[in-house]
Amino acid sequence: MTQHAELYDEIRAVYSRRPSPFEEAAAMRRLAAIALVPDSELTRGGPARRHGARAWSVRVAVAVAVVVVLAGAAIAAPRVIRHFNHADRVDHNVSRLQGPGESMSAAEYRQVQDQAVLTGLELEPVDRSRVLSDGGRTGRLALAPARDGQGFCYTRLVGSSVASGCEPSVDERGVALSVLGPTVVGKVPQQVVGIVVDQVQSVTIVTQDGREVAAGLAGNAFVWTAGTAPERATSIRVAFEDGATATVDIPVGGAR
Amino acid sequence: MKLPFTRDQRPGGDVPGDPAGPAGVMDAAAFQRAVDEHGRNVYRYLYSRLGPQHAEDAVAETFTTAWSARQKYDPALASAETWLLGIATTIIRRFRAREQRWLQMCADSAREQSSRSDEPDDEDDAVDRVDSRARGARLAAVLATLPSREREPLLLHAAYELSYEQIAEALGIPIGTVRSRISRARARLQHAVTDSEVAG
Repeated sequence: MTQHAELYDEIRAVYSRRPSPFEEAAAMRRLAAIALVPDSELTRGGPARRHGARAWSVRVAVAVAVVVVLAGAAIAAPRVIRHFNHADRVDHNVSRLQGPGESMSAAEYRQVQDQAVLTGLELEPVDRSRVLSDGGRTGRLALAPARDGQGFCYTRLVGSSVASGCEPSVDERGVALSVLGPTVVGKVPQQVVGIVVDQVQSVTIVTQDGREVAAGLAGNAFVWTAGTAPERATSIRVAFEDGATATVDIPVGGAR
Repeated sequence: MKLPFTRDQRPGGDVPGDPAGPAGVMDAAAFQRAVDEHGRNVYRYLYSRLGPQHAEDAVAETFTTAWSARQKYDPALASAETWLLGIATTIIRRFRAREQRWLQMCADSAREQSSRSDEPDDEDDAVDRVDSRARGARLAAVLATLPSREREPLLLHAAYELSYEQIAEALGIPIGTVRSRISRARARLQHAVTDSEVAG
Protein backbone atom coordinates (compact mmCIF):
# COMPACT_ATOMS: atom_id res chain seq x y z
CA MET A 1 0.00 0.00 0.00
CA THR A 2 2.88 2.37 0.74
CA GLN A 3 3.88 2.13 -2.88
CA HIS A 4 0.66 3.84 -3.84
CA ALA A 5 0.27 5.92 -0.73
CA GLU A 6 -0.12 9.21 -2.53
CA LEU A 7 -2.88 7.96 -4.78
CA TYR A 8 -4.65 6.35 -1.85
CA ASP A 9 -4.40 9.58 0.11
CA GLU A 10 -6.07 11.38 -2.75
CA ILE A 11 -8.80 8.75 -2.98
CA ARG A 12 -9.44 9.11 0.73
CA ALA A 13 -9.67 12.85 0.27
CA VAL A 14 -12.35 12.39 -2.39
CA TYR A 15 -14.31 10.15 -0.04
CA SER A 16 -13.64 12.22 3.03
CA ARG A 17 -17.16 13.40 3.72
CA ARG A 18 -18.49 12.15 6.98
CA PRO A 19 -21.92 12.28 8.54
CA SER A 20 -22.67 14.70 11.32
CA PRO A 21 -23.38 13.19 14.74
CA PHE A 22 -27.04 14.02 14.18
CA GLU A 23 -27.16 12.19 10.86
CA GLU A 24 -25.34 9.28 12.38
CA ALA A 25 -27.68 9.07 15.34
CA ALA A 26 -30.70 9.13 13.02
CA ALA A 27 -29.29 6.29 10.96
CA MET A 28 -28.52 4.25 14.05
CA ARG A 29 -32.03 4.73 15.39
CA ARG A 30 -33.32 3.41 12.15
CA LEU A 31 -31.20 0.31 12.46
CA ALA A 32 -32.07 -0.28 16.06
CA ALA A 33 -34.94 -2.65 15.62
CA ILE A 34 -34.40 -4.47 12.37
CA ALA A 35 -33.55 -7.58 14.31
CA LEU A 36 -36.93 -7.41 16.00
CA VAL A 37 -38.88 -7.68 12.77
CA PRO A 38 -39.95 -11.24 12.19
CA ASP A 39 -38.66 -12.59 8.88
CA SER A 40 -42.17 -13.40 7.81
CA GLU A 41 -43.08 -9.75 8.06
CA LEU A 42 -40.11 -8.56 6.08
CA THR A 43 -40.97 -10.86 3.25
CA ARG A 44 -44.72 -11.04 3.51
CA GLY A 45 -46.72 -10.43 0.39
CA GLY A 46 -49.62 -8.10 -0.03
CA PRO A 47 -52.06 -7.34 2.71
CA ALA A 48 -55.12 -9.42 3.28
CA ARG A 49 -57.25 -6.74 1.76
CA ARG A 50 -55.80 -3.91 -0.24
CA HIS A 51 -57.56 -0.60 -0.19
CA GLY A 52 -59.87 -1.96 2.46
CA ALA A 53 -61.52 1.31 3.23
CA ARG A 54 -65.10 0.21 3.09
CA ALA A 55 -66.85 1.83 5.96
CA TRP A 56 -68.46 -1.30 7.29
CA SER A 57 -65.23 -3.20 7.42
CA VAL A 58 -63.54 -0.34 9.21
CA ARG A 59 -66.25 -0.33 11.77
CA VAL A 60 -66.22 -4.07 12.31
CA ALA A 61 -62.47 -4.03 12.55
CA VAL A 62 -62.51 -1.19 15.03
CA ALA A 63 -65.22 -2.86 17.05
CA VAL A 64 -63.25 -6.06 17.39
CA ALA A 65 -60.06 -4.20 18.10
CA VAL A 66 -61.59 -2.03 20.77
CA VAL A 67 -63.10 -5.05 22.48
CA VAL A 68 -59.69 -6.64 22.49
CA VAL A 69 -58.17 -3.47 23.84
CA LEU A 70 -60.76 -3.33 26.57
CA ALA A 71 -60.09 -6.93 27.44
CA GLY A 72 -56.84 -5.96 28.97
CA ALA A 73 -54.33 -4.39 26.67
CA ALA A 74 -53.20 -1.01 27.84
CA ILE A 75 -51.86 1.64 25.53
CA ALA A 76 -48.25 0.67 25.21
CA ALA A 77 -45.45 3.07 25.81
CA PRO A 78 -43.65 3.47 22.52
CA ARG A 79 -40.06 2.46 22.65
CA VAL A 80 -38.58 1.86 19.26
CA ILE A 81 -38.48 3.92 16.13
CA ARG A 82 -38.18 1.99 12.94
CA HIS A 83 -38.61 2.52 9.27
CA PHE A 84 -40.05 0.29 6.67
CA ASN A 85 -39.09 1.78 3.39
CA HIS A 86 -36.17 -0.58 3.17
CA ALA A 87 -38.46 -3.54 3.60
CA ASP A 88 -40.90 -2.84 0.87
CA ARG A 89 -38.86 -0.57 -1.37
CA VAL A 90 -41.15 2.35 -1.38
CA ASP A 91 -40.13 5.93 -1.65
CA HIS A 92 -41.65 7.22 1.52
CA ASN A 93 -40.18 6.59 4.89
CA VAL A 94 -42.33 6.13 7.89
CA SER A 95 -40.91 5.88 11.33
CA ARG A 96 -42.80 3.83 13.74
CA LEU A 97 -43.06 3.71 17.44
CA GLN A 98 -43.45 0.23 18.57
CA GLY A 99 -45.17 -1.13 21.60
CA PRO A 100 -43.75 -4.02 23.56
CA GLY A 101 -43.94 -7.22 21.63
CA GLU A 102 -45.47 -5.49 18.68
CA SER A 103 -44.37 -5.34 15.14
CA MET A 104 -46.00 -4.06 12.04
CA SER A 105 -45.65 -5.59 8.65
CA ALA A 106 -44.62 -3.87 5.49
CA ALA A 107 -48.07 -4.78 4.22
CA GLU A 108 -49.68 -2.67 6.90
CA TYR A 109 -47.50 0.21 6.03
CA ARG A 110 -48.41 -0.15 2.40
CA GLN A 111 -52.02 0.17 3.44
CA VAL A 112 -51.28 3.54 4.94
CA GLN A 113 -49.52 4.57 1.79
CA ASP A 114 -52.25 3.29 -0.46
CA GLN A 115 -54.78 5.26 1.47
CA ALA A 116 -52.64 8.33 1.33
CA VAL A 117 -52.42 8.06 -2.42
CA LEU A 118 -56.13 7.44 -2.77
CA THR A 119 -56.99 10.49 -0.77
CA GLY A 120 -54.35 12.72 -2.25
CA LEU A 121 -52.24 12.95 0.88
CA GLU A 122 -48.54 12.74 0.64
CA LEU A 123 -46.86 10.94 3.49
CA GLU A 124 -44.09 12.75 5.13
CA PRO A 125 -40.67 11.19 4.90
CA VAL A 126 -38.68 10.10 7.93
CA ASP A 127 -38.89 12.16 11.04
CA ARG A 128 -42.35 13.51 11.47
CA SER A 129 -44.23 10.45 10.34
CA ARG A 130 -45.20 8.34 13.25
CA VAL A 131 -46.85 5.06 13.66
CA LEU A 132 -48.40 4.35 16.98
CA SER A 133 -49.27 1.01 18.38
CA ASP A 134 -52.11 0.71 20.80
CA GLY A 135 -50.48 -2.37 22.22
CA GLY A 136 -53.16 -4.91 21.48
CA ARG A 137 -51.84 -8.07 19.94
CA THR A 138 -54.63 -8.32 17.46
CA GLY A 139 -55.61 -4.70 17.12
CA ARG A 140 -52.79 -2.49 16.02
CA LEU A 141 -52.99 1.02 14.89
CA ALA A 142 -50.68 2.91 12.61
CA LEU A 143 -50.79 6.62 11.99
CA ALA A 144 -48.92 8.52 9.37
CA PRO A 145 -49.26 12.27 9.03
CA ALA A 146 -49.39 13.97 5.69
CA ARG A 147 -46.27 15.79 4.61
CA ASP A 148 -48.03 19.11 4.48
CA GLY A 149 -49.58 18.57 7.87
CA GLN A 150 -53.06 18.58 6.44
CA GLY A 151 -54.17 15.30 7.84
CA PHE A 152 -53.21 11.71 8.44
CA CYS A 153 -53.92 8.16 7.46
CA TYR A 154 -54.44 5.25 9.76
CA THR A 155 -54.35 1.53 9.44
CA ARG A 156 -55.61 -1.08 11.81
CA LEU A 157 -54.72 -4.71 11.78
CA VAL A 158 -57.29 -6.98 13.35
CA GLY A 159 -56.33 -10.59 13.01
CA SER A 160 -55.45 -10.97 9.37
CA SER A 161 -57.77 -8.23 8.26
CA VAL A 162 -56.48 -4.78 7.52
CA ALA A 163 -58.69 -1.74 7.63
CA SER A 164 -57.56 1.74 6.89
CA GLY A 165 -58.66 5.22 6.09
CA CYS A 166 -57.56 8.80 5.99
CA GLU A 167 -58.58 12.02 7.65
CA PRO A 168 -57.56 14.83 5.40
CA SER A 169 -58.83 17.63 7.58
CA VAL A 170 -56.90 19.62 10.10
CA ASP A 171 -57.99 22.47 12.29
CA GLU A 172 -56.46 25.90 12.53
CA ARG A 173 -54.06 24.84 15.27
CA GLY A 174 -52.82 21.88 13.27
CA VAL A 175 -54.77 19.12 14.97
CA ALA A 176 -56.21 16.37 12.84
CA LEU A 177 -58.20 13.69 14.53
CA SER A 178 -60.51 10.79 13.97
CA VAL A 179 -63.00 9.18 16.28
CA LEU A 180 -63.36 5.48 15.63
CA GLY A 181 -66.59 4.16 17.02
CA PRO A 182 -68.81 3.61 18.72
CA THR A 183 -69.83 1.15 16.08
CA VAL A 184 -72.50 -0.36 18.27
CA VAL A 185 -74.04 2.42 20.21
CA GLY A 186 -73.80 1.92 23.92
CA LYS A 187 -71.64 -1.15 23.74
CA VAL A 188 -68.36 -0.26 22.12
CA PRO A 189 -66.51 2.72 23.48
CA GLN A 190 -64.88 5.05 21.11
CA GLN A 191 -61.28 5.52 20.26
CA VAL A 192 -59.80 8.87 19.45
CA VAL A 193 -56.72 9.02 17.30
CA GLY A 194 -54.98 11.97 15.75
CA ILE A 195 -51.98 13.90 14.73
CA VAL A 196 -50.79 17.22 16.05
CA VAL A 197 -48.85 19.11 13.47
CA ASP A 198 -46.92 21.41 15.79
CA GLN A 199 -44.56 20.20 18.48
CA VAL A 200 -46.81 18.76 21.11
CA GLN A 201 -46.17 18.19 24.79
CA SER A 202 -49.33 16.40 25.88
CA VAL A 203 -52.81 15.54 24.77
CA THR A 204 -55.63 15.29 27.26
CA ILE A 205 -59.00 13.81 26.47
CA VAL A 206 -62.01 15.34 28.19
CA THR A 207 -64.87 12.89 28.51
CA GLN A 208 -68.54 13.66 28.67
CA ASP A 209 -68.62 13.22 32.43
CA GLY A 210 -65.85 15.76 32.83
CA ARG A 211 -62.95 13.45 33.44
CA GLU A 212 -59.59 14.32 31.94
CA VAL A 213 -57.47 11.48 30.69
CA ALA A 214 -54.03 11.64 29.16
CA ALA A 215 -53.85 10.18 25.69
CA GLY A 216 -50.96 7.96 24.62
CA LEU A 217 -48.55 10.12 22.72
CA ALA A 218 -45.90 9.01 20.30
CA GLY A 219 -44.13 11.75 18.49
CA ASN A 220 -46.92 13.93 17.24
CA ALA A 221 -49.50 11.16 17.12
CA PHE A 222 -51.91 10.29 19.87
CA VAL A 223 -54.44 7.63 20.63
CA TRP A 224 -57.00 7.22 23.35
CA THR A 225 -59.40 4.37 23.92
CA ALA A 226 -62.38 4.80 26.17
CA GLY A 227 -62.44 2.96 29.47
CA THR A 228 -64.54 0.12 30.70
CA ALA A 229 -67.88 1.82 30.35
CA PRO A 230 -69.27 3.33 27.21
CA GLU A 231 -68.14 6.89 27.40
CA ARG A 232 -67.63 9.56 24.89
CA ALA A 233 -64.82 12.01 24.50
CA THR A 234 -66.15 15.49 24.04
CA SER A 235 -62.95 17.38 23.44
CA ILE A 236 -59.21 17.09 23.38
CA ARG A 237 -56.86 19.55 24.94
CA VAL A 238 -53.44 19.88 23.38
CA ALA A 239 -50.48 21.42 25.15
CA PHE A 240 -47.78 22.53 22.74
CA GLU A 241 -44.12 22.73 23.53
CA ASP A 242 -44.14 26.49 23.25
CA GLY A 243 -46.57 26.67 26.15
CA ALA A 244 -49.67 27.32 24.09
CA THR A 245 -52.76 25.17 24.46
CA ALA A 246 -55.64 24.39 22.16
CA THR A 247 -58.97 22.72 22.77
CA VAL A 248 -60.61 20.87 19.94
CA ASP A 249 -64.21 19.75 20.26
CA ILE A 250 -65.04 16.27 19.11
CA PRO A 251 -68.31 16.16 17.24
CA VAL A 252 -70.87 13.58 18.22
CA GLY A 253 -70.95 10.63 15.89
CA GLY A 254 -67.32 10.29 15.01
CA ALA A 255 -64.78 11.68 12.65
CA ARG A 256 -64.87 15.16 11.26
CA MET B 1 -4.04 11.52 5.82
CA LYS B 2 -6.76 10.74 8.28
CA LEU B 3 -9.01 7.88 7.31
CA PRO B 4 -12.37 9.10 6.12
CA PHE B 5 -14.16 6.22 7.79
CA THR B 6 -12.34 6.06 11.09
CA ARG B 7 -13.37 2.85 12.67
CA ASP B 8 -14.63 2.91 16.20
CA GLN B 9 -12.20 1.28 18.54
CA ARG B 10 -13.77 -1.54 20.40
CA PRO B 11 -12.37 -3.69 23.14
CA GLY B 12 -11.45 -7.01 21.67
CA GLY B 13 -11.10 -5.61 18.20
CA ASP B 14 -12.66 -6.96 15.08
CA VAL B 15 -12.52 -10.66 15.72
CA PRO B 16 -13.77 -12.76 12.84
CA GLY B 17 -17.02 -14.32 13.82
CA ASP B 18 -17.26 -12.06 16.81
CA PRO B 19 -21.01 -11.49 16.76
CA ALA B 20 -22.05 -15.02 16.17
CA GLY B 21 -22.80 -17.38 18.99
CA PRO B 22 -20.81 -20.46 19.84
CA ALA B 23 -22.59 -22.47 17.17
CA GLY B 24 -21.77 -19.82 14.59
CA VAL B 25 -25.40 -18.92 14.13
CA MET B 26 -26.26 -15.25 14.10
CA ASP B 27 -29.35 -14.99 16.25
CA ALA B 28 -31.23 -11.80 17.08
CA ALA B 29 -28.92 -10.90 19.95
CA ALA B 30 -25.83 -11.50 17.87
CA PHE B 31 -27.30 -9.48 15.05
CA GLN B 32 -28.05 -6.64 17.42
CA ARG B 33 -24.42 -6.73 18.52
CA ALA B 34 -23.34 -6.55 14.90
CA VAL B 35 -25.58 -3.51 14.43
CA ASP B 36 -24.14 -1.87 17.53
CA GLU B 37 -20.55 -2.61 16.64
CA HIS B 38 -20.51 -2.10 12.92
CA GLY B 39 -23.54 0.02 12.12
CA ARG B 40 -21.67 3.31 12.33
CA ASN B 41 -18.77 2.15 10.21
CA VAL B 42 -21.02 0.73 7.55
CA TYR B 43 -23.06 3.93 7.57
CA ARG B 44 -19.93 6.07 7.24
CA TYR B 45 -18.77 3.93 4.37
CA LEU B 46 -22.10 4.34 2.62
CA TYR B 47 -22.19 8.04 3.43
CA SER B 48 -18.83 8.61 1.84
CA ARG B 49 -19.90 6.73 -1.25
CA LEU B 50 -23.47 7.89 -1.67
CA GLY B 51 -23.73 11.15 0.19
CA PRO B 52 -26.14 12.13 2.90
CA GLN B 53 -29.35 11.72 0.96
CA HIS B 54 -29.12 8.03 0.29
CA ALA B 55 -26.75 6.68 2.91
CA GLU B 56 -29.46 6.24 5.49
CA ASP B 57 -31.68 4.30 3.12
CA ALA B 58 -28.74 2.22 2.02
CA VAL B 59 -27.57 1.35 5.51
CA ALA B 60 -31.09 0.32 6.50
CA GLU B 61 -31.28 -1.81 3.41
CA THR B 62 -27.87 -3.28 4.13
CA PHE B 63 -28.88 -4.43 7.58
CA THR B 64 -32.28 -5.64 6.46
CA THR B 65 -30.58 -7.73 3.81
CA ALA B 66 -28.06 -8.93 6.37
CA TRP B 67 -30.82 -9.89 8.75
CA SER B 68 -32.64 -11.85 6.10
CA ALA B 69 -29.42 -13.56 5.06
CA ARG B 70 -27.95 -14.08 8.50
CA GLN B 71 -28.28 -17.85 8.30
CA LYS B 72 -25.83 -17.80 5.41
CA TYR B 73 -23.25 -15.89 7.37
CA ASP B 74 -20.24 -18.01 8.17
CA PRO B 75 -17.98 -16.48 10.80
CA ALA B 76 -15.22 -18.83 9.78
CA LEU B 77 -15.07 -17.20 6.36
CA ALA B 78 -15.32 -13.50 7.15
CA SER B 79 -15.59 -11.11 10.04
CA ALA B 80 -18.98 -9.56 10.55
CA GLU B 81 -17.72 -6.18 9.45
CA THR B 82 -16.28 -7.55 6.24
CA TRP B 83 -19.48 -9.43 5.57
CA LEU B 84 -21.56 -6.29 6.17
CA LEU B 85 -19.31 -4.17 3.98
CA GLY B 86 -19.75 -6.74 1.24
CA ILE B 87 -23.51 -6.44 1.50
CA ALA B 88 -23.27 -2.66 1.63
CA THR B 89 -21.19 -2.69 -1.53
CA THR B 90 -23.80 -4.81 -3.25
CA ILE B 91 -26.48 -2.38 -2.14
CA ILE B 92 -24.45 0.51 -3.55
CA ARG B 93 -24.69 -1.08 -6.98
CA ARG B 94 -28.42 -0.48 -6.87
CA PHE B 95 -27.69 3.16 -6.19
CA ARG B 96 -25.19 3.43 -9.02
CA ALA B 97 -26.70 6.48 -10.63
CA ARG B 98 -26.79 8.24 -7.28
CA GLU B 99 -23.21 7.33 -6.59
CA GLN B 100 -22.20 8.82 -9.93
CA ARG B 101 -24.04 12.01 -9.12
CA TRP B 102 -22.45 12.19 -5.70
CA LEU B 103 -18.98 11.75 -7.16
CA GLN B 104 -19.72 14.38 -9.73
CA MET B 105 -20.82 16.72 -6.97
CA CYS B 106 -17.60 16.05 -5.05
CA ALA B 107 -15.64 16.79 -8.20
CA ASP B 108 -17.55 20.01 -8.85
CA SER B 109 -17.14 21.11 -5.28
CA ALA B 110 -13.38 20.47 -5.34
CA ARG B 111 -13.11 22.26 -8.67
CA GLU B 112 -15.02 25.23 -7.32
CA GLN B 113 -12.78 25.42 -4.28
CA SER B 114 -9.66 25.24 -6.41
CA SER B 115 -10.85 28.12 -8.56
CA ARG B 116 -11.30 30.39 -5.57
CA SER B 117 -8.32 32.52 -4.74
CA ASP B 118 -9.73 34.65 -2.01
CA GLU B 119 -7.84 33.07 0.85
CA PRO B 120 -5.08 35.27 2.16
CA ASP B 121 -2.28 32.85 2.81
CA ASP B 122 1.26 32.02 1.98
CA GLU B 123 1.46 32.06 -1.80
CA ASP B 124 3.21 28.70 -2.22
CA ASP B 125 0.78 27.01 0.15
CA ALA B 126 -2.15 28.49 -1.68
CA VAL B 127 -0.84 27.26 -5.04
CA ASP B 128 -0.26 23.79 -3.60
CA ARG B 129 -3.71 23.72 -2.17
CA VAL B 130 -5.33 24.81 -5.41
CA ASP B 131 -3.32 22.17 -7.31
CA SER B 132 -4.30 19.52 -4.86
CA ARG B 133 -7.99 20.40 -5.09
CA ALA B 134 -7.88 20.48 -8.85
CA ARG B 135 -6.28 17.07 -8.83
CA GLY B 136 -8.90 15.85 -6.38
CA ALA B 137 -11.63 17.07 -8.70
CA ARG B 138 -10.07 15.22 -11.62
CA LEU B 139 -9.69 12.11 -9.52
CA ALA B 140 -13.33 12.18 -8.45
CA ALA B 141 -14.41 12.61 -12.05
CA VAL B 142 -12.31 9.66 -13.15
CA LEU B 143 -13.48 7.52 -10.23
CA ALA B 144 -17.02 8.11 -11.42
CA THR B 145 -16.15 6.61 -14.77
CA LEU B 146 -14.43 3.50 -13.42
CA PRO B 147 -16.42 0.30 -13.79
CA SER B 148 -17.87 -0.59 -10.41
CA ARG B 149 -16.11 -3.96 -10.44
CA GLU B 150 -12.84 -2.04 -10.32
CA ARG B 151 -13.91 0.92 -8.21
CA GLU B 152 -15.28 -1.21 -5.38
CA PRO B 153 -12.18 -3.24 -4.55
CA LEU B 154 -10.00 -0.17 -4.96
CA LEU B 155 -12.06 1.88 -2.54
CA LEU B 156 -12.30 -0.88 0.00
CA HIS B 157 -8.54 -1.17 -0.14
CA ALA B 158 -7.49 2.45 -0.45
CA ALA B 159 -10.10 4.21 1.62
CA TYR B 160 -11.16 1.54 4.03
CA GLU B 161 -7.87 -0.30 4.33
CA LEU B 162 -9.27 -3.77 3.86
CA SER B 163 -6.71 -6.34 2.86
CA TYR B 164 -6.98 -8.18 -0.44
CA GLU B 165 -8.16 -11.24 1.48
CA GLN B 166 -10.89 -9.28 3.22
CA ILE B 167 -12.03 -7.73 -0.03
CA ALA B 168 -12.19 -11.17 -1.59
CA GLU B 169 -14.36 -12.31 1.32
CA ALA B 170 -16.55 -9.23 1.19
CA LEU B 171 -17.18 -9.32 -2.52
CA GLY B 172 -17.12 -13.08 -2.93
CA ILE B 173 -14.45 -13.09 -5.61
CA PRO B 174 -11.06 -14.80 -5.78
CA ILE B 175 -8.13 -12.93 -4.31
CA GLY B 176 -6.33 -12.96 -7.65
CA THR B 177 -9.27 -11.14 -9.17
CA VAL B 178 -9.14 -8.56 -6.40
CA ARG B 179 -5.48 -8.01 -7.07
CA SER B 180 -5.90 -7.59 -10.80
CA ARG B 181 -8.93 -5.32 -10.52
CA ILE B 182 -7.22 -3.02 -8.04
CA SER B 183 -4.16 -2.92 -10.20
CA ARG B 184 -6.20 -2.05 -13.28
CA ALA B 185 -8.15 0.60 -11.42
CA ARG B 186 -4.99 2.21 -10.11
CA ALA B 187 -3.46 2.26 -13.56
CA ARG B 188 -6.56 3.82 -15.07
CA LEU B 189 -6.71 6.48 -12.37
CA GLN B 190 -3.08 7.42 -12.61
CA HIS B 191 -3.21 7.44 -16.37
CA ALA B 192 -6.35 9.55 -16.57
CA VAL B 193 -5.25 12.04 -13.96
CA THR B 194 -1.84 12.46 -15.53
CA ASP B 195 -3.38 12.86 -18.97
CA SER B 196 -5.73 15.54 -17.80
CA GLU B 197 -2.90 17.35 -16.04
CA VAL B 198 -0.89 17.36 -19.23
CA ALA B 199 -3.92 18.49 -21.23
CA GLY B 200 -4.77 21.12 -18.63
